[in-house]
Amino acid sequence: MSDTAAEPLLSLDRVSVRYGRTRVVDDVSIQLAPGAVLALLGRNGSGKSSLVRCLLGHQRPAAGQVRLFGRSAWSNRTRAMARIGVVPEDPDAPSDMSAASLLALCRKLYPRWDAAYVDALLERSGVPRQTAFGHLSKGQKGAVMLALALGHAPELLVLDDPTLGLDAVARRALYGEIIGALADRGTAVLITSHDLSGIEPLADRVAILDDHRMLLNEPLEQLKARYRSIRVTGPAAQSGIDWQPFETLRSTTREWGAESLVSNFSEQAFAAFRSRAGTDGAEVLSLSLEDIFIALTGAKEAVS
Amino acid sequence: MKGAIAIGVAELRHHRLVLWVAPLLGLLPLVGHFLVHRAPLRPAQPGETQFNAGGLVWVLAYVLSAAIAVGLGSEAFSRDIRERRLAFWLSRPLSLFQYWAGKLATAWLLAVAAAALVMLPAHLLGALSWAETADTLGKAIGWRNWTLLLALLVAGANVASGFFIVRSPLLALDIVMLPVLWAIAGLALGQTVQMGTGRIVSETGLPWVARGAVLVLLAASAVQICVGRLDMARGRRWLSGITWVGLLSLVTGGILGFGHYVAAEAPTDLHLAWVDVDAPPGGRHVLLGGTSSRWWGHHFGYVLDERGQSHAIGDGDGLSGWAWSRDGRRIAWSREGLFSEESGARPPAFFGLGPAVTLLDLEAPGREAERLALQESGSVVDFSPSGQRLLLLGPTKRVVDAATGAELATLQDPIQWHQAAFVSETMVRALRQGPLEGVGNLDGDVTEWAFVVEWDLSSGRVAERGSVALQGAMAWTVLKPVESWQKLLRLDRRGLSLLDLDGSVIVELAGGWPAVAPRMAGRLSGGRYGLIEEEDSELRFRVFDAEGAAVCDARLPGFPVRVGGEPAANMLAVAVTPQRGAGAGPLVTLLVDLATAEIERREVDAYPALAGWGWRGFFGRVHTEPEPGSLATRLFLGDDGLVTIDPATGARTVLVRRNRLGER
Repeated sequence: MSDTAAEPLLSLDRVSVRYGRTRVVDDVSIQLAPGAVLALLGRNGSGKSSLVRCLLGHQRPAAGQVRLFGRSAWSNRTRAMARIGVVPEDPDAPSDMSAASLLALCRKLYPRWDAAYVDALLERSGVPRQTAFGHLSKGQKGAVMLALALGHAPELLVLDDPTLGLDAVARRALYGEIIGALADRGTAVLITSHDLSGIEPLADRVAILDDHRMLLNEPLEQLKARYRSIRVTGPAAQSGIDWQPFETLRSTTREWGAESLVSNFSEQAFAAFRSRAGTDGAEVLSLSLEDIFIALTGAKEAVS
Repeated sequence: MKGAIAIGVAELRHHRLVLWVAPLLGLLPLVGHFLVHRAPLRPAQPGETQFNAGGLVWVLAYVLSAAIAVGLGSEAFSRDIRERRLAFWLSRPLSLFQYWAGKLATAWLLAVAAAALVMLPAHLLGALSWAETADTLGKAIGWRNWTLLLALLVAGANVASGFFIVRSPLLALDIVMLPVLWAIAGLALGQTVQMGTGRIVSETGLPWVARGAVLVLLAASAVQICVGRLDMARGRRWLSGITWVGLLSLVTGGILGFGHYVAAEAPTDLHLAWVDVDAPPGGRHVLLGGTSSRWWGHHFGYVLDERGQSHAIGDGDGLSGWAWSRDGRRIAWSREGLFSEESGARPPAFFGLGPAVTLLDLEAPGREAERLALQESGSVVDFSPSGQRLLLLGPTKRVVDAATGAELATLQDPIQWHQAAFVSETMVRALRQGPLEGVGNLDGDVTEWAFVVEWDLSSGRVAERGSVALQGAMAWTVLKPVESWQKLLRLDRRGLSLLDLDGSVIVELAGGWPAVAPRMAGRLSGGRYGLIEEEDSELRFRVFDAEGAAVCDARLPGFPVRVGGEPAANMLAVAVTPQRGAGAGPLVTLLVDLATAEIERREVDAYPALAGWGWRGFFGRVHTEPEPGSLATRLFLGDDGLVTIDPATGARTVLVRRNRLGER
């Protein structure tokens, strides 16, 4: 994926959000190109939901600009929403409306509507059409919300922690549908989730919010390449290891040796590291997105 | 529009129960009718007091529609906010204005529809008539007012629920602002009452203020949703801000601004064809009253001087009386409290909404009116000879201190008094419509009795001095006190007589009339009395001296329309037309020599503004008689407007130019 190859569908430029005197998002910039899948990660209270509200034009940022399809998200929300599908954290459709009436309502509101696709999606999810939304199971509600989000073939899909509260089967089904939609339509996706293992296969780019600021924003592949765990065993590890040239996020010494999580791994640097006395037994371990996220955002707590 | 309709359909689906419950509710009174009367349904007859199914249906329609307006208005957005559903709508290609409009319009339409559905069974089954309902909605109630009220309820309930559904410290402000708003509205209305425009503001302005309030509340709600969106605190600030700033501006601007705008009405805005003039015996001012050409149906009054300078008395509809001081330097006028006549309730004394007497010193520089609040409504009718006391009539007769308003004497008497006046600082005389005790001797020939009563302010006692019978149609009779309330002048079918206070005839000036014919009589300067009788093609003009001897008896051409004052010593202004009846041909005012009955001048297309000899029966206050040559006697209504005419030269000076645009 190239960051600048195409006009971004979504662009947040130095956005800040405040509630009164409380700062919840500070100077955050994000861009999302067509077809890209961005995972926006952060701990609870890091400002993800506020940022999502701003990028959907649901809330006006205290500072900065949010543009959707090249126009202000605040001023052009109505028009932009015809090109965006949204699956919220909590399924928020009117509880007294059935899936059938929700589909009928949305069919009137959107300029285009792929009824066959939506029917097939609901069929696969086993959603009864005439049951009130409030009486559906969590998985069925999620399926309905996804159907409403995908029914108009959006160019951008915003998923705000869509798997919250879903069991493993429902989660898998939801991801399956999303992957299908991506494969079929090339839809760009912005997803926030605490289910990092679930979204890792989907995302091609990751942005992490920590302490209300953007901690990093880069391709997942690059992230995983530079964040590695290096393990050194043997007597040399007990006498203290100079981890240079690596930048360490966290280093621990155990009975069996020492381990460090580094953020600037490269094969050349690792060769140089191994060439030093006592580290020839060092080995490199890959990290999952969840490991990297915990290492980055849980560092303060680990220290304390 | 498509979005608003989609929202409306969703709302209708959610509240569809209303559409079922309303007609069922409307059936209940009809079932009650069958159970009580066991008779077929029919529309209630006027005055029918038994179980009235149709009436109950009306009540139900009102109550249900109001309840639905409040209920649906309050939950239109609060339900979505409470259930965190606003984002669902915001995530659709649906303009927020359409979302907002769809919700509130459906609430309003459901309220109206509920009322209609409640009434439908009663119409179908014959308990109510379609024609009467249409008539009632069209006239008595006014479907516009009703639907406006429902809109106000929807918008008000919506805003009120918005205050509570989003937690905010602003709630304390909102709770405080409601009574503050009422207080400011009351003060603003009180100000307009004091300006003399309270009645027109309440009747004409308040419905527009209500419409404005609907718009303000709708705007506040719309901005909360459209600008606040999911930032609840921001929306909440807008809601409170627009609501209170808007309503306060509306109340102060709408009520006070409108009141001041109306108060800017000038004598030129009067329909000059229909103005009345009153004046004290002396002094240099007149009271000019008439119908406004700008505010149809409303009356305005002004004190006017010879230079055309005026002081507004205000809207005449709330004016209950006025009085001149003996020297003509001061005028006092009384006003009813606002809403008092309509509601029958005691008018609110606070905020200046209660009844009051206003005094104005016409010779004082700056002419600052002084207002005395009254405990109870009353019509001011006279100043005491010293000018220190005021006489007020009403169910309670009162004498109050003209400086402080303090009550000096009161008398409970529900019977009306007329022509009441001070004869001294401690004595009031009046004509009472009934005897103090028993009933009047109403024989077949007598149309009306008047009883002369005296109220001794020192002892507080009231005594009956005598009674006077009047014969003939009231329109043609005159009974007025003369010679400082020492005698009575009576004109009725029998003749023109001067009476003593016990009702006995002192002297019969004229009589023995064979037929009923329009006659006018009045007092002239120098203790003389005048009589004008309409004859076949001319009028007979007679003048009597103080002893009753005829000093002048002559015929004048034309038919009498109005007798004015004496524009110069020994001269009377008499307006005539060539044909019988007012408006029948060009008006000509004859300036007649009182000694010889010679016509000294003819003023074409001008007639006296002062109706010196009214056909007034004995109603009203004592009709003051301006001195010969005073301003009131020289005022005429001409083609150019209200003019003074020099009786010697006929030179006209325009005081109030006729506003031709206003003469619709």
